[in-house]
Amino acid sequence: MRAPPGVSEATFRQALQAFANVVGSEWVFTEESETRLYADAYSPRGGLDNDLWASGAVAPENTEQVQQIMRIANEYKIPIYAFSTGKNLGYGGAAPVYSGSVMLDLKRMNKIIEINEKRHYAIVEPGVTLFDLYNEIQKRGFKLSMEMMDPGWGSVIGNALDHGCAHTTTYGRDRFHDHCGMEVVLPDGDLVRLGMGALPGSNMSAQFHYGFGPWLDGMFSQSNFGVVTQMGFHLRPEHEAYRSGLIQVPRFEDLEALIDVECHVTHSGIANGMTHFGSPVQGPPMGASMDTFKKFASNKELMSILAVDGRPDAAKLEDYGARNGIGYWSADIKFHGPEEIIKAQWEYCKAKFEEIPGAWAEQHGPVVRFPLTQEQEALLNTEGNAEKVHLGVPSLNRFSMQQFLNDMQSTPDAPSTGHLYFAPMIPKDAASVMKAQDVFYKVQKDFGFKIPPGHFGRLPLGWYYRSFIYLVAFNVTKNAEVNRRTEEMYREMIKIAASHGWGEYRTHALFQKDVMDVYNFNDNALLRLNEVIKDALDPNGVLAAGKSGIWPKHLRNGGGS
Amino acid sequence: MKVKLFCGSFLALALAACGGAPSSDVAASNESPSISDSGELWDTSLTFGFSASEDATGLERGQQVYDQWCAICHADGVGMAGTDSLKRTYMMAGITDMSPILTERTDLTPEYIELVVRQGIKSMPYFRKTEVSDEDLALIGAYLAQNNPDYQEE
Repeated sequence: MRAPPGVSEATFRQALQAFANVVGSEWVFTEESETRLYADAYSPRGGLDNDLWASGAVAPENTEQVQQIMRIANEYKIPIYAFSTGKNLGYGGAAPVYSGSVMLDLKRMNKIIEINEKRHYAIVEPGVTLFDLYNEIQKRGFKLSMEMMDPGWGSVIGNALDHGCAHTTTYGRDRFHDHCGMEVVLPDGDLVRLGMGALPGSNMSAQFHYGFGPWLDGMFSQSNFGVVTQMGFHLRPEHEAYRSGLIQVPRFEDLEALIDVECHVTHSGIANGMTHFGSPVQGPPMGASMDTFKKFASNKELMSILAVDGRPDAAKLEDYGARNGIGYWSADIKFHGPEEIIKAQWEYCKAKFEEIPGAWAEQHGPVVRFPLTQEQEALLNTEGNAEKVHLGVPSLNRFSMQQFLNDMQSTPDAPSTGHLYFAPMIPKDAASVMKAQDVFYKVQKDFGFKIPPGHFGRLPLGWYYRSFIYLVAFNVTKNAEVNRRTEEMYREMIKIAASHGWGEYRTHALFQKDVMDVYNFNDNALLRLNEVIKDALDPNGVLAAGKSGIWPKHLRNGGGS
Repeated sequence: MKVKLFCGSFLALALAACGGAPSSDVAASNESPSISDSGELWDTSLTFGFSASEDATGLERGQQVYDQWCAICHADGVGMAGTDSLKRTYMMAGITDMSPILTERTDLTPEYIELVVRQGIKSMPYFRKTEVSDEDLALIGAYLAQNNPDYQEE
């Protein structure tokens, strides 16, 4: 047993006994063999003394127990770090920002409070995963579609609170935006319901966001101001059908027009699914199979054009594309809804994109109809067909692709143990994409990292449909020196990105302060405001110290890390 | 409510005993019209991830916990992170006589399963005890060791 920093072993034992009195001793974990399971499985500091560590864990099964745990934490001044399911691998898993925290493990709070088929919403607890909610909807035969992330084993609430995104509809992908109603245990153990939940007797918490007064929900996302114990989320009537179309453009400079038209059709709601931009001449799209990747890597002519220092020769790629009937850039656009309606939407988009000189558009994969038949479902995730995640069906297909990339980058002296995501937001335009490709290419080169061919064909993701996430996955390895350099480069990339006006939308537990430090307008006014709120709500500074770079008073100025 | 699941012929797993009550408190108020015994309509057999039944015991529960936590990556089919990773591992190592699908393996022991689940391996993370309890982990081990001729269940 190892007590949290600044807490005596005797006090820690008393607190653990108090926790056990609330949840039962079988749900308090203090053995090293148990607490190490709360470290990040993909940590770049895995196995090292300076890795983020937990001193213990306590797993309540209801809101009342969460309140009691927070009161005990205040009494004994025990640092607490709450998490839902801890599956945001690549962003730190469950690991606490402040080493030595006691984990408030909410996995046992896995109740689906309500699913309303006629008003299209669900209210869930933090331990409910995407698989849980989806399977419950199917089991009960509800004609509902839900927004879907991958991997599907993550928490519906945890993903939303960390500003995660789905792969499905434009109006529902932003998961925090798609929530309605929240129940929160404050750091002192008080319980608050936001929006309509504050009105006793109202059953509208998941149907009207605001209730009355300032809308405080946002304060509890990516924050350390409370423990969210319930949230409502909007669902949709079963979509009836799904289809996608692939637009290709022949020239290097066509990316600008391609993105402009995509903005037009998406921002007007006509294309209502998630667009994937790609560059067919520079590599397979996300979602392609291992075989396709292998075929790409063994294409000698293409490799001779792509495996060069810096941006490949556009004229050569245009020529290769023209001879092989593939585009320089592509946009895979998607539609959810009744079959006749999405057919018309597709036809409008097709015509709009074909106004770009030389562009061509074709249907991509078969139209999928709900409910899915066995035969249809068996085709999903196979090449040329939709991915489950696009249809709102849970899967770990994307996770599998990431594992493939991890394995491919694995070397004998630095075998892969996972990945680390760098996720800056950049403007949704071609000039910014080109700039980001150049900037992030250079910094990785400068740090001596090998960049596989295809870097300049990898386009950012449109989860947030009015901006781009320039997602970079770094390999985490068993080689401490390689990982140390990756960490150093990550910190440098945060600063370089900021110098161009780009900032991360979420980050790993190790870099929370680094990211907050670049959001520093007017002498860090945003952080100062967060600190005022922190001090007011959590005077003892017991909850999630250091999350989003917000430290309690006694740990500020470097006291925490 | 017991839900009978269709067993796709393309699946190596026998799933007839799967399903059952969710771990949540939801009152399952209506029989699902979208799940049919004939397998004509939508069905969870390709999705896995459903919670194990509180009523099941022994190997039956072992299979259900396996389906909930392991089959989502280790079943046969496309987009299976564990199965795909094992295929790559065996290919690189030149191993041709080992199935990448865990339920087809004849060499697994409960001890090895416990080691991998609590330590993780390559990109597979370790699992906490609030996810897979020690008791359930032992049942998964017994379930996967069934085909191992060297393993004698006590």
